[in-house]
Amino acid sequence: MGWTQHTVGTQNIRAMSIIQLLLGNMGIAGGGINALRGESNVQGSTDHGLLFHILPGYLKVPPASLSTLKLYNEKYTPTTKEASSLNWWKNYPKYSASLLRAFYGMNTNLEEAYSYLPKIDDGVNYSWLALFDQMYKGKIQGFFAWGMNPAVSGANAGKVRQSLARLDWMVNVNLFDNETGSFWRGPGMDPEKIKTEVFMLPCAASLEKEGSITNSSRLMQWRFKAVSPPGKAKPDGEIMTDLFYRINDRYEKQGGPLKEAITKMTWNYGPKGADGRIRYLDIHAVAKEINGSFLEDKTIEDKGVKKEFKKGDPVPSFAFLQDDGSTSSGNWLYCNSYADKGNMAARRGTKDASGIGLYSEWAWSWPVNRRIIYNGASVDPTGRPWDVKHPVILWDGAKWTGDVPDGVGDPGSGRPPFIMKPEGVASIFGPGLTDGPFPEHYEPLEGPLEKNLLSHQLTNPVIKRWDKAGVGTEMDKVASCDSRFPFVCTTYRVSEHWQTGVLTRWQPWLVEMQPAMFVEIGSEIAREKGIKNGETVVVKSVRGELDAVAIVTSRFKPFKIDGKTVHQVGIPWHYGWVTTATRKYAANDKKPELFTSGDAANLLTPTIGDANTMIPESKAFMVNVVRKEVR
Amino acid sequence: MQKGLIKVTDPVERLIHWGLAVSCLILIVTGMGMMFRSFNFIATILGGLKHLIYVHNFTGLAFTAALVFTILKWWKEAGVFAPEDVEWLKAAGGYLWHTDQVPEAGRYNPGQKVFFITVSTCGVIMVITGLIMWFPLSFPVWLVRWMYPLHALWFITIMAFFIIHFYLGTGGSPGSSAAMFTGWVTKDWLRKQHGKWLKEIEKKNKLEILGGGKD
Amino acid sequence: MFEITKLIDVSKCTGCRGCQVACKQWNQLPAKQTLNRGTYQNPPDLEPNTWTMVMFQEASDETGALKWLFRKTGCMHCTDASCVKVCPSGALYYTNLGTVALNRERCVGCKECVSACPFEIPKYDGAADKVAKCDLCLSRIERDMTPACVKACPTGALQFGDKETMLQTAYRRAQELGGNASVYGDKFVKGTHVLYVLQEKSAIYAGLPLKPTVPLAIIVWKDLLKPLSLIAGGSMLAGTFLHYILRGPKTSDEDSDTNKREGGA
Repeated sequence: MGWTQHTVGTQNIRAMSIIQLLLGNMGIAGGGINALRGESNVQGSTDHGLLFHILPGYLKVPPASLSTLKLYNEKYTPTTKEASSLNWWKNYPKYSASLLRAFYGMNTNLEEAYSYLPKIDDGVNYSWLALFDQMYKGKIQGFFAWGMNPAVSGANAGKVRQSLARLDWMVNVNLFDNETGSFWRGPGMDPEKIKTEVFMLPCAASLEKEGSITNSSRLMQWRFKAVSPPGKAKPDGEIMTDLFYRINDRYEKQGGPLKEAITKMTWNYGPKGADGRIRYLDIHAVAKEINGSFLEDKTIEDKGVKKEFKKGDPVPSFAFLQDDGSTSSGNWLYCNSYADKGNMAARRGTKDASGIGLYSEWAWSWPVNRRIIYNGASVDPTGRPWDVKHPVILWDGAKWTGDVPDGVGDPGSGRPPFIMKPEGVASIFGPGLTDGPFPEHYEPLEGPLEKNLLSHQLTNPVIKRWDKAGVGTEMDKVASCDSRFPFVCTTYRVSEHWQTGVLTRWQPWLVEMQPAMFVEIGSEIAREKGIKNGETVVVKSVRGELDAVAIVTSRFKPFKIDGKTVHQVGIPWHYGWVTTATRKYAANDKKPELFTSGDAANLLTPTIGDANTMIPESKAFMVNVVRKEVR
Repeated sequence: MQKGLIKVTDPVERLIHWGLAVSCLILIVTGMGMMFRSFNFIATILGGLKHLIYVHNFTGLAFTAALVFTILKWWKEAGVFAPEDVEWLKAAGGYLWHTDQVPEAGRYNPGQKVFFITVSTCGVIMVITGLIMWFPLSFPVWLVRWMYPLHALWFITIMAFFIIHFYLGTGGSPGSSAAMFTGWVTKDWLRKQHGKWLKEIEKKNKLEILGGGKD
Repeated sequence: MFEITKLIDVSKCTGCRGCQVACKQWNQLPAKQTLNRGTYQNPPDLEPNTWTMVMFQEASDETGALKWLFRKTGCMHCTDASCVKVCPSGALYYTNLGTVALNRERCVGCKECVSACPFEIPKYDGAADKVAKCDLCLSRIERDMTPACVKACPTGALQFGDKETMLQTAYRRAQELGGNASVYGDKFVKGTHVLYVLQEKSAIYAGLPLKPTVPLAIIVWKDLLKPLSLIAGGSMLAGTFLHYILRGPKTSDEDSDTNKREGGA
C-alpha cells in the first residue's frame, strides 16, 4: 500500500518487479509481487472499472478523439511482430463488444452503444486530486460520496473540506454520519455561509447483503448476508437501482445531453414485473451478467471441437467471447466465474491437489481460476519446472496438470509466458509510463534535503506541481527545507481502526483500544522539545495542524544523511472530528458510545501525487511537533 | 439477691464488658462461617454469605468501639503488672492445683491482666488487619496478603483465651459470673479471689454492701 | 481427568488484539472510555470488563537491540490456584478440564482472590460487587469448541488442545526458536493450563513473575492456621472440660485459712 504513496510510487513497484524478474521469481510458487492492499475489495474495484481511466476488465475509457468503436479498438488492440507471442490483448475487440452488450443489450447496435459511452477529454486527468481541485474552483456542482470519506481520506483535507463547501449538492452514502457528510458543521465551518445541500442515504454493511469481493490474489469470494440492515439502510445495489429508474424517468420526460447513455441501458438484475422493471434486486443476476451470456444461438469451434450454444446460455470462459455482438459480458476477466457450473465464487472446497497451497476448489480466481498468473514462466523452455519441489504446472505427457496453465504452449514450443505483453516477455527496460524507463531515486516533493545524494535531480521531474502558480490553489502550499517544519512525517495504520475510521470509530471495543489520534516521536525529539510520553502535542505542517497524544518511542530513530540529522515522526490516519466528545451534537445526532479524540492526519498532507497514478505522497512530508501550550 | 453482697462493678463496666464480649462472640461465629466452607451454613441464618460478611464487618466496628472503651476503662488496673504478680502466676493462681501459696490479688489478678493485655493487643491487631481486609484494594498486594494469616493467628489466640475466660468466669470459678451480671458478689468470694482489693476498699471505707450495714 | 491447555507463542503474536476483542464479544463485556497514555496498550490493565489484554512493551535485550514485545495476559488457570484456595464461597472452582472457573452467582465480592493471585488477575467490579476473570471459555470448551481468543488469532500464536500435546508443541517451538526462548507455565503452581513460549529471557517481560507461587501468607493461613484454629479451639474446650473433672472448679471456700474443708462440714 505505502509503496505507491510516493511521487515515485509506480517506479517503486517497478523496482520490485525488476528484482523479482532478475531473481526468476515470476509465475512460480511463492513468487511475484503480492501487495497488502488498503482495503479488502480494492482489487475488485479496479477490476470493475471504478477508476476514471478504465472500464471493467481494464479496458480503456475512450477519449473524445476516438469517435467510433472501430477507431477505439484499433487504438487499443496491440499487434506484435513476435510470431510465437500469444499477445492476449489482441482479443480486445471481443471484450469491448461484449461489455457494450452488457450495458445496452440488443437495444442498439455496437457503434451506437459506443457513442453513448461517456468520453473523457484527451489528455485530461480526472483523478482524485484533480477532482477536488476542480471542485474547489467551483467547477463541480454535485457529488456522490459513495462509501467514502474524502474529508478525512483526501490529501490536504483542509482543501477537500473547503471544496465540498462549493458544491450545490452532495449525496453521502454510508453507514454512519461522517466528516464528509457533515463537513458543513465541522471545525472552522460556518453553516450559515454554506449553501451545499447534503443528502444522507444510509446503506448496508458488507454483512448485511450478499455479494462478492476480490482480493489481491484475484480471488473472488462470495459473501453471504448474515443480518438485515437496520432501519432504512439498503444495499448499494438497491440504492443504485432506485436512482437508475428515477434518473431514467427524468431523462425520458425532460430529455438532456446524451440521455441515451441512461435510457438505452439494460437493467436485468432481477425478475421483472409487468412494467418491465425489476421487482427486487437479485445479486446473482448481476454476477451472471458480469460472467456473460450468449445473445443468440452460436456454434463455436474450440480446439477442433464444435460447441453449440443457445441464446441465453452462459459463456463458459472469455475464450468464447465474440467481437460481433453475439455475446455479452460485464467483465471479460470474470467470464467463467458464474457459468454452467454455477457460482464458482461461492465454492468452499478445502482440498489441495497441488500440494503447494493453491486450494483451487476454494472460491474462484480470475482468469479462469488460474491461481498463479504467468505460470508459464515456472517451467523452462523444455517444460521442466524451475522449482522441482514446488511445481505449479507439470506436463504429464499429454497435457499440463496442476494450476490452470497460463497460455503455455506445449513443452518446447518456445511460447514466451508473459502473454499480456505484446512481445510475450516482461520488461526490465520499461517505457510507456510518465517516468522511467528505469526507476530512479528522487526525494519527496516536500522533504528535508536540498540535495539528492543519488541523482542530480532532486525530485521527480514529471509530477504535476499543484503548488505552482496557476496550477493549483492558494491552499496547495509546499514547504521543503523549512525550519518551521523540520521533521519528516509519515502516515500509517493501526490494527484497531480501518481507513478513515468511518466505521471503526463507532465500535466501542475498538475505540477502547485505540481512542486517540497520536504521534510517535523518538526520544531525541521528546528531549529536545520537553515532551513527555502521553502528553498532548500539536503536529503542524504548512497546510494545517492537529492535536495528538505523543507516544515517545525508541522505535523511531533519527537518520544521518550527508552529515545532517533528520528526524522522522509517524501518525495514523484513522481519526476524525465527528466521533469526538468536544464537537457539537444536535438533538437527533447519534453519539458514539465511546468518544475518540483528534482529527484527520490528512489535514497535514500535501497535494502531490505519483507521476502516473496521482496517488498522493502521504508517506513523506514535513511537520513540526510542539507541546500544546507552546503552540 | 441476698443482703450482704458486695458491689464490685458499676453498670458502665458491665456494659462495656458485654459489648465487647457479645461482639467478639458474633465475630468469632461469623468469622468461622466465612473461614470454613463447612461452616457456611451459619450464613444461611443471615440470608447468605454476603450478609454474613456485612454482619462481621459492622460488628467489627462495634467491637472496635467497645475495645476503645475497654482499654480506656481498664488499662490502669488490668494493664500494668506489679513485681508480686510473678508469684501469683507461679502458683497458677491456685487454679490448676490446690494450694494456699497464692498471694492475694488486687481488683484484677495477674491472670486477668494477661487476658486483658492479650485481648487488647489482639483486638487492635484484629481491627487493623480486619480494616485492611475490608478495603484490600486501597493497600499494596504484598501487605494485604499477610493480613489474612495475621487475622487468623490472632483469632486463634483470642478464641483460645476466650474459651478459658468463659470457663473461668462461669463453671471454673463459681460465683464469678455475678460480678459481670448483677455486679454484686459474696464477701467470701471476694476475699478468696481478690483479697487484697477487699482490704483496700475496706480501708478506704468504699465498701458497698447490698442492704446497707457493715460487715 | 482430561486436561486442556492454551498455548501462547509470543514469537508469532503481531499485537493485532483480535483475541482481546473476541473475548469481549463472546462474553458480552462492555467497553469503557479510555485515554491514550502514550502506548498502544489499552485498557492499561485487566479489568472486570477486560479479561484478556495484550501488553505492549518496549525493551532492550542483552545485546541492546530494541524489541517491541507483545504479550497476551489473563488468568493462567493454575493447577494449584491461590484464588480457589482462598475463596470463601466456592465461587472459584476447578473444572473437570483443569481450568479455574468462576460461578458469578456465588461470588460475594470479598476480594480475597484479588490479593491471593500471584499473577494479580482477578479484578473487582464495585458496581456489581463481584470479581471477574477469564474462565478459558468454559461455555465453549465444554462443547468441544475452541476458546474465542484462539479462534480469532490469525497467526496461530494461540493454540489449544490437550495438555500433553500443548506441552510438547511448546517445547518443540522453544527449541526451534533457539536463543533465549523458553517455555513458561510448566513448572510453577504445579503447572498452569496457560502456557507461554517466550522468545526473550522471561525476566524481560513486564508483569510476568519469575517464580510465581501460591503466596506464603496464603499457605500459612490455609494450610497451617486454619487447621490450627480447630485444634486450638478443640483443645481449649477439651482442656476446660478436663480441668473441671480433674481439678474441679475453684470455689471461694476452698483452701482458705478461715474456711478449711473438713470432711463433711
